[in-house]
Amino acid sequence: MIEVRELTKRFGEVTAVEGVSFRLDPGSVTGFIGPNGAGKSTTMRMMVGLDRPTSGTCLVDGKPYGQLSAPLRVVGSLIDPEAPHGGRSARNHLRVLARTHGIPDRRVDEVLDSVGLADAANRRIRGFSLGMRQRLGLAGALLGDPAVLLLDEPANGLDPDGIIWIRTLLRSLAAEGRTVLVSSHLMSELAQTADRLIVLGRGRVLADDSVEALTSRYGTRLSRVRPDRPADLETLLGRQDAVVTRLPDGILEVTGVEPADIAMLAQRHGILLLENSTVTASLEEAYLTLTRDHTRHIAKVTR
Amino acid sequence: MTADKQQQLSLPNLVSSEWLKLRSLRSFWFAAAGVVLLTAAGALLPALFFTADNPPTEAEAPLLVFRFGAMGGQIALLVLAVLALTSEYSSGSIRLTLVAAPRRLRVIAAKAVVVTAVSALLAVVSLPVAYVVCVPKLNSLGLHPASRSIIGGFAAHVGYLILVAAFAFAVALAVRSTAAGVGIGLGVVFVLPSVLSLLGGGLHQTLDKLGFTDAANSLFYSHSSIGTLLTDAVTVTVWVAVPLLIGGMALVRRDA
Repeated sequence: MIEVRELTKRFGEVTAVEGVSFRLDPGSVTGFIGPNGAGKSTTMRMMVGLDRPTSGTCLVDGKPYGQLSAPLRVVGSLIDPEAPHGGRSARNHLRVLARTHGIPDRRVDEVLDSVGLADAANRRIRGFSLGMRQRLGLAGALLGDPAVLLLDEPANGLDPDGIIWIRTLLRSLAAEGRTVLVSSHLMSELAQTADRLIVLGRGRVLADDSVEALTSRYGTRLSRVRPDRPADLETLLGRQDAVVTRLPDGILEVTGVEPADIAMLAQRHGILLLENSTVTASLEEAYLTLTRDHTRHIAKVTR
Repeated sequence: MTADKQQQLSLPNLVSSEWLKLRSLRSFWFAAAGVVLLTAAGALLPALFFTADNPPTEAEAPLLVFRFGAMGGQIALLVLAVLALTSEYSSGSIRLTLVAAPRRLRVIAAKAVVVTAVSALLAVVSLPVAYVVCVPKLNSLGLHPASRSIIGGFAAHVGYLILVAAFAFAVALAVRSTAAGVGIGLGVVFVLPSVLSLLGGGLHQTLDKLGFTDAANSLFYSHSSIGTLLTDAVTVTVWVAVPLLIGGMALVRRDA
């Protein structure tokens, strides 16, 4: 079990993480999501002792990470895929990590095989693609067969096959009873993998809930209506403060009025509805709604 | 998630990891070869200028050969000791090391053990090679130094080279940059003695002994009194301990 309590990190005037608290339980994948600069990586770096928190604590099985007698066997982490020394072979890189804990070389070969790098084991890391480096980073995280995995954007740089592979891997790791925290700034990467999402914005936890709860709470419900007189219904809905978008084929996309109310309104005015359906709110929309005002870096777009 | 009590973080495991880390890089083997070659080249330099008109004494000859050999070899050894640490900072792999071994001072202790052992081994190998290269020239001058003076000179310079590596490692810990580490290391070892000598001449003071090179050299073979020995020991300790403390404190306090 891993518990983060009121973690805060300031870099001079900038507060990167502020009062972040959460608890991770075994057997589940928790998505750690937020825009670039939201504080995900800083939080994860503090969890493994790389950054010193300004205040707050992170406890793994009741102890700070730095006091674990065998850290790699308790927490496996992928923080920076570019970190391994380019002049070393993939196998030697993992052997160096394994030696710190007296982990035998056969385990190194096992994890290289499990991430699909057995053929590249003796190649120098300098020639690896980002996807291969991510796989090597995952091999390093799995080296100590840990109960907790902290993975910072592990799908970054992977090809579509690799993304499917990592989704399956994360699910199977959780199914084995492990605690998995995986960060991303793309909701699509986590939507099909995570059981629970912690949404971060400007260093604060904006939401912490199951995927379903977040979708229903923050997602926008959209109705698709095909009336026989689109212009008339659009005018009527406009008077109800609904937001209506009229598509070229006569379909109206309506937010702000429930489908049943649209049907009754149409009936009162003799408008025939050929179609009246609800488009399920997407997790992506929920995420965008949540983080809209909490993005640190917003590009100015000129048209 | 099988618990194996044998697989734990420990200083011997860290030393084993650090030794593998060093020897699994090509640059280490180039630097090691450089130590042997530069030591031999450095030793040959005075031997070439020994003449029948002005030969060294049999007691002086091995000392001169080892001293100049050590002067050459220390360049590559200094680079090796600096790289042992700074290559991790330049590549970013120090973060992986510190995640695997979060007690940072233990990591530095393990690295220091490896750097010291490797330096000792390289000194033990390269100085005899350098001497053997010079033997024909010494023999041609009719010089056949006694074993005692050869072993004495050899042991003193093994000690000196280990101190040079320790000093370079300490500087690397303080500055975390290869260029700065090598620059400061070479400056202190090669340039500072001349600067101190010039300054001392101007101020009519003996400042030479305040430099690392003089103190480390005389620590092993020219102690005229206990007082001199202690002064040399304190001087060398300060040169190594100050950067080590500065670097150690920064390592513990700063983010990685």
